[in-house]
Amino acid sequence: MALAANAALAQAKDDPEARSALDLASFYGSHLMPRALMHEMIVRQGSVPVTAPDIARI
Amino acid sequence: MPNTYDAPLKKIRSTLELAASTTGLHLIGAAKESLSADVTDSVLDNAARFAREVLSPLNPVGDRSPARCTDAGVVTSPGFAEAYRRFREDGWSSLSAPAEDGGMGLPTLVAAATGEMWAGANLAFAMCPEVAVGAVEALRHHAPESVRERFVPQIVSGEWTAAMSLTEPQAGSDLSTLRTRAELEKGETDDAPGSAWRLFGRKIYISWGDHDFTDNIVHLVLARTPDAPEGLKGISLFVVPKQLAGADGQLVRNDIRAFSIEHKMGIRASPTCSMVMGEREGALGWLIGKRHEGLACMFTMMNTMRLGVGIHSLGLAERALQLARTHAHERLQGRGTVGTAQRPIIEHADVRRMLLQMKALTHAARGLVYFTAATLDVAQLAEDAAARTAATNRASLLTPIVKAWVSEVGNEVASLGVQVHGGTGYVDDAEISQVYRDSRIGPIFEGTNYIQAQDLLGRKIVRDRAQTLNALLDDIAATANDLPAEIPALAGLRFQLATCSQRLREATQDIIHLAVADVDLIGSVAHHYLQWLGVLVGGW
Repeated sequence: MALAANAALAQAKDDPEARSALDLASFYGSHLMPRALMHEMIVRQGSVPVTAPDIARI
Repeated sequence: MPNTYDAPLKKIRSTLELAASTTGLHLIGAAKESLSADVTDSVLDNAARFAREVLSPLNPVGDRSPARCTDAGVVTSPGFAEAYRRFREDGWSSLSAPAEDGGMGLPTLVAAATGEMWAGANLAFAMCPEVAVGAVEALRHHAPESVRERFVPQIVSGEWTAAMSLTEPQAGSDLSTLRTRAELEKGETDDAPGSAWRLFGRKIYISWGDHDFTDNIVHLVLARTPDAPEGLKGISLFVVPKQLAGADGQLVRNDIRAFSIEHKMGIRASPTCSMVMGEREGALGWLIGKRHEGLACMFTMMNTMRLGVGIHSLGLAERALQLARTHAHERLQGRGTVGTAQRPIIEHADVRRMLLQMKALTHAARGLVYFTAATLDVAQLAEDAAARTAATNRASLLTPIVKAWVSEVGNEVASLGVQVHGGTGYVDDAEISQVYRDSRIGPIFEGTNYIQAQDLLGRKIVRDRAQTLNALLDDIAATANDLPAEIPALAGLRFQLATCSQRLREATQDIIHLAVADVDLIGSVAHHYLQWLGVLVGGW
């Protein structure tokens, strides 16, 4: 995304492919990158939330 | 008017060029000519035409009329055998195979682009020639010359296909319990690579294990020799053809056959076979690599297949996007204000959001898949040994992410595609319904996504003390820094990439320390760790 956006910036501003790359980079930054925070929070919880519950109660 | 797959050629070309320049592949002498515009334009244009005109129209046919198992063997879906004949005649089966084996020797990067088109147009068909690519890799690296000469040219030309025969009813993800046995052929005194053996046992879930495309199918089979130790260390790899060369040069049946095929949720035209070997004298096969080192040999093939799953999922994501976008432009629902005409649903904000999400994920997946393919090419072709090693390590790190993250992306994009279609996407006749079902296998086969996540975090990162990862994170942070801060639309991505790569680096160091005392840590967090890294690399 970022590499494509950087490449798009070097192209003509009216190139639809370049405009699309910038639109998608913007969307990815605002709607998809925040997922990283969720994954990080879960990873930071470690093994306990997964291993503590008794298998019989799952 | 049928809505056939139409390869996004402009996007494919620009991503291919970006992957080649980012990895430095375009500077390597051995790849320069293959990556020239003349060559890639010709290959991509012709592949797009084949995908659109031959493979795509057969896709719903295969879903409605799946492959069948008969007493004479597996009969494929109507039109598929003829499509394979044309596929082979056009030379597509030999695209990335080395010239010395009769192939065209084009980079893996170009093959990834054509593979995306085959999968987007007709995944069930695409899986057949794809196995052959992995088999050729395994045979080239591990088989003695006598065996290579006997099988590789025919597979490369597409005259024969290949199949990967690992799974048994009791041995799925855990191959340590394999029971198929191999006995040294009578009169054979040498048990070195290339020696002849007889195999006895049953295999299940063998993709394209039997069909009517070609006279012969070359199976790569995992089995145990009589002296094999228990567990994974006792597994050997054999090449077992469906047909053997008789004294008069005619092919005669080997003692291996498909006795049933699965009725599946998706990829219905791809025959998923249960195979039996040794109903008579035993299936004749030849040892590949050293005895008891079969798993390592098979992993050469498996790594190719894992990149292949990412390519499948990318193709399906693109197809889902095409179908959903067309539907969203054509379907009229709702009005802006009372008295005005109904609007196409793409004008509704949430439909636009879904389409943008599908498109952004698909483009991110394409970037990751092509970058990894180009990195594999650098690992093979770079003149400098240090560059080859660095590329090998990076490709090894990225492969489980390509397999697992991109297959999850494929599922998500296909699911969004069904949602955009509304009720019409839920009926069997809708192609988006087939795309959704076809995509669901991605996270399961060629090593489940959990296995990929454990491989990534346990073997590729913790064992490596994150050296390869940190080099990748350095590159991502540098790219984020290159994004101009003064462009507001890119500020979010710039900030997120920079902070995310730093936080992932810190968390990884903590995991390396904590995993020493907590044996459950890697298994518990590996899935989310891989997805975290996938989101980051996708945004790169």
